[in-house]
Amino acid sequence: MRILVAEDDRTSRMLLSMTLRNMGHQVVECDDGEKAWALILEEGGFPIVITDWEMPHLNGLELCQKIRAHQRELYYTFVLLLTVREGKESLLEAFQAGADEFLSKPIDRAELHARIHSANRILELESKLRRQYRELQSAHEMIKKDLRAAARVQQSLLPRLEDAKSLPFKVSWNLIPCEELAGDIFNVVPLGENRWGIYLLDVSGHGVASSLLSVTLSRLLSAERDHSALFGRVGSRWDVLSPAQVLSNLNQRFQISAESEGQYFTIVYGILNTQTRTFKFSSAGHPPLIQQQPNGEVKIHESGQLPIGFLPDLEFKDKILSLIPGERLLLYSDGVVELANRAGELLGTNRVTEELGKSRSTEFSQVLPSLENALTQWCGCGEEVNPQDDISLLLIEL
Amino acid sequence: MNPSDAELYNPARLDELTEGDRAFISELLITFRQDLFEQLQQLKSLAPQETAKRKQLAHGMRGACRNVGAEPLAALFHLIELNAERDLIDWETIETIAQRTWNMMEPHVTL
Repeated sequence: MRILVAEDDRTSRMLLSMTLRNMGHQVVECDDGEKAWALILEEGGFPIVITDWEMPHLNGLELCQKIRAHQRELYYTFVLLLTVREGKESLLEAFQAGADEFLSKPIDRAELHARIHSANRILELESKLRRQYRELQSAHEMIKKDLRAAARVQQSLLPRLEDAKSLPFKVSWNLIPCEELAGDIFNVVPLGENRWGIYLLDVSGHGVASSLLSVTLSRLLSAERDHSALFGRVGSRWDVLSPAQVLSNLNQRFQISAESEGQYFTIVYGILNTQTRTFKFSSAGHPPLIQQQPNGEVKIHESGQLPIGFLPDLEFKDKILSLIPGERLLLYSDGVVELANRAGELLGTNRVTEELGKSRSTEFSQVLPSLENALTQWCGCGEEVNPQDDISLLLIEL
Repeated sequence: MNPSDAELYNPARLDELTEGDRAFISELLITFRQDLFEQLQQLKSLAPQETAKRKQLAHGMRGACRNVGAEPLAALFHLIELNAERDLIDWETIETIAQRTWNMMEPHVTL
């Protein structure tokens, strides 16, 4: 073991160094704290430093403080303070300065041996801990990289801007995951004959487990008829199922169980018919749908039903809204209304409605950015919303 | 030999610490002697108001004396350290005891 001995008294230093060398250690000596610090910097540190308390220029406590302030990540320095001082206060002062242990004067061979042995044990544990920390850091980096890749996959499942431009209605959206991966997902699905399936769902929890289920659901809620839950086969043709039927089918298929680790989800799903200008929708435990008319009037369509997964025989009902050109519909997840400000107060549906009301005369493409700005101001979290839950917003204008 | 002088130096301490390394004990005792008389001179030459320096030197010598096994001399340096603010030191007595301590050490110097 390489040990640095800092002691201004020559006799004591010689004796201590000699005793340590006889124990098989490599010893570097110096006669004051400043020289000790210079040696530490020059030689890249020592695993053990034994320093006298009283020394000229830089005393033992000051040396301890410097060592702790510049502690390198590579290894820990065990500091033994030599002292003839007595009293509890002196000990506390030394521990606060960063000393690990004391070595009393005059030097006792057995005590010295025991202290070095104990230092060695602690250094080994420290080194193991640091090694494990580095391994964890590297594993964490790898997981983050994988999660970022998975997040890109998840983003690719959201509506695409180029597709949105060709729709016979306006649509804009945003998803702000609280972790890399979100449990929220939404989409606009072509159903044929001027009909468009629009859904926004929120799987309980967030992160990997939730996002896996949300991705599975997005596959089920697609336009690919052979495995989509949006269609039902009648003889040789595929019929578009009503929203209530879709939710009922999902509910039978995704019941909470031990295997699903208690996962459930809320969803609002509707069929927008651009010819009849209707929006037929059903909701399962999802926050209310907000309808804004061109004159600014806002209607809130509450859902009293349970989320998907709670009761197998739950019946869902359809509701039909008649729309006029310029009418807007806002679908969103509970991460929006449950966004807390610094005082812990939740945003709530009424504030979302108010904010939406303010943007009635705003150009469609600027409505969601303006709403997100209001969310940022509400949570008081600087330039970006940093939610506790995923936030998703889907706005439609006929 | 003055019977009480045997108490001034305990050679068993260095024997135990160095595992009876005669050459090292000799080198250490010679170093100790040199530092002891040099620092006594320094202490004597300090002005009465130089209390911090007096305290520091006495503290250092106290540790050295205890380490080599010269406990009575260590106790005297402790007294100087404790009374550093008051210049009440009887240098003649201290020098005599330092010399008598060295006399007890000298036979252990085998170089």
